[in-house]
Amino acid sequence: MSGVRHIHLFVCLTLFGLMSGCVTAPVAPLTERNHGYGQSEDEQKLIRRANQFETELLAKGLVLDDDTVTTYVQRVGQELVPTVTDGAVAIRFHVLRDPLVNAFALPNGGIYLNVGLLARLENEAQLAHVIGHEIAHVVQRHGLQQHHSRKATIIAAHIADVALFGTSIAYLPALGALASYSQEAESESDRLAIGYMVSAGYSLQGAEQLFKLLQEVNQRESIWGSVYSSHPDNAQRASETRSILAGRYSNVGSGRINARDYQQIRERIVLENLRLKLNIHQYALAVKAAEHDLALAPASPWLHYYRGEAYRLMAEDPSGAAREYAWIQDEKLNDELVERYRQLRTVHLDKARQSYRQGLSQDRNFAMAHRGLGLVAYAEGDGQTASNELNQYLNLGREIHDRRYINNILGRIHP
Amino acid sequence: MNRQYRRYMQWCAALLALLLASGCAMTTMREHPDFAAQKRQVKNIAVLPTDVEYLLLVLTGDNERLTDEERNVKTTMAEALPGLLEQRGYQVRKTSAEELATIVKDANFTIEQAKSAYNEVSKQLYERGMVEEEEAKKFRVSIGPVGAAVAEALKADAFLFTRYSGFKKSEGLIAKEIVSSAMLGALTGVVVVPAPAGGSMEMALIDGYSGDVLWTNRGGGQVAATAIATNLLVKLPATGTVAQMEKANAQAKAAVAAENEKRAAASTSSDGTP
Repeated sequence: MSGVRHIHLFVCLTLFGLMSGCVTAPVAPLTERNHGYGQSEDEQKLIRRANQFETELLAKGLVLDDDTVTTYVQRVGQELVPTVTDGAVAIRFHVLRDPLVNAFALPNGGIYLNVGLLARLENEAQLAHVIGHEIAHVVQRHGLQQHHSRKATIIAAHIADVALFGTSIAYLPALGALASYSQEAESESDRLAIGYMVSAGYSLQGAEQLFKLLQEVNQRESIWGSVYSSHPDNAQRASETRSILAGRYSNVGSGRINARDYQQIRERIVLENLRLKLNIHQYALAVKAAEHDLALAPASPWLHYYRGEAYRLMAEDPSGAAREYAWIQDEKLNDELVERYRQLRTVHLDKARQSYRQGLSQDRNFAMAHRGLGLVAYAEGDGQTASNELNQYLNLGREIHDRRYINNILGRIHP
Repeated sequence: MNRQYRRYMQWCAALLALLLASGCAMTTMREHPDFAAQKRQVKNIAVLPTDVEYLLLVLTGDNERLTDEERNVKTTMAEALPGLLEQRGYQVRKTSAEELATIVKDANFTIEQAKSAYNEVSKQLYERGMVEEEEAKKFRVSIGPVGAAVAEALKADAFLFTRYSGFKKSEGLIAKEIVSSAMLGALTGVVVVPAPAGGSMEMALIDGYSGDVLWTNRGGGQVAATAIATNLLVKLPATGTVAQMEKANAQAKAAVAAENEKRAAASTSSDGTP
């Protein structure tokens, strides 16, 4: 193609792009009769991409395969879907094996709740607000509105930056293009979520409690700008929600909170959350999460174990621990910081050992505690203790997934 | 700037730095010291399916995944990688995503966890960009036990995973870049021709017993994915008879170089005149 023709093409495309950005048709929610879902080329493209995205999540094994948890979430979700939608979109609910505090809705009706977020919630009413908020994004077709305003592109690029530095969840850039919304859209979803909760009989205390909880979420534990972080805009959202509750819904009676059912689901999720955090070297965040849960369930040997693992890995990976610290505190990573963590090696190994022993005190046959104690001893150069503990682990454990790894260590102790 | 394109540009910048600093041998490779010193015996390697992302970059920024291209790259890489590893003397345990799913519990997720763990240690490995060759053999990082279950099920000493990010630009974007380059060229007298397509690749060889990262390399260019893979794997330390042959060749070359130096010195007279 000649240079002149390139210039003509560029000018035409720029003008077209500018014009098409100005002329956008209004987007009708799914609650309206002739909503036209899936009829525009833009929306078909979004649906296609959302389908591709979901296929990839499944192929990577990122969707939690736990019938009890999934059935529970689907039950709560279906109670909240407004009955006026004509079935044009199948709204579906899934749990994602991701420790970030986040949830998202795709333009094709897929709604995903991260394990990291579910581990933070305390009762079903809070969950209902989260799910209601995401349902509203689908019903109001915020994905298509956003596509028109092109904000998603900028956010996708920004989220890609966050993804490179903050977390290794590889799907984030694609998510940014499909499920990032304006402040207006988020506020609208909050309002509609409250309406869905009232219709389904949930206590609106859930909404207030949720915002309080989210204020405690470090921005690094979520995605930049996410409504599920302590982003500054969220304080305003909380204030708007309080106004709505005090105004339109001030006479609504108490609804159900259902903390007990939720706690049973949560127990299944918190351990997965801790494991996922440790895998991506979020050691300090794992300690924080484990201690939060230990305050609620001090007799759980598994929580003691994962806290121990977090300390042990901090000791064995001072670079990783320093990197996490710098990322959380938004400081520069430097050799001094890494050296500081190296100096803390003995302290961290001691804390790890204490945690494993606390786990063992709750259950004398808890094999994982022996694994932890063995690895601490190995790290300290105590081959005899390491060998005894690791052999105990191999003998007591029912399903050993890392037998080869452990045998490799035993082989190094006794070559 | 799109993530793919940015990686590609980073790789180009790194290559430029290499050319400029070619007085010191710099490398994108990283090697565990035990592997470099041949203290780890790796005979057979399981090759995991390549992760591929291929984008069409467009003027509006609304980039599109090209799934057909992605499938093609995955297929060509699955065909090429075993041969390239065998050329380095390794036995290869080929596998597919379908086979993995039947022999490893929760295989897809386990592999994703291994990749996530590798992404974290990769930040440590590459925070200084290119390093001198001797420095490159001093990196001790591990992804822990997460990958051992996969390697054990496949009866392999180590596994190789590869990720490739490719892109090609739409005509509109190319037109825009040509206009920008021309305008900049008019001002500066230098015209840079923007690349219409390209890709970058990273490979990692992980010890299937300890989770140690034995070897990694990354690179890119305006060439096919298999060509990039060939360039990266030629730097993987060879084993077995291939290693012996390479050692013999290197010794022969060194002997010839030493002989030539001796002759050059001898042909100079004692007062320094030729």
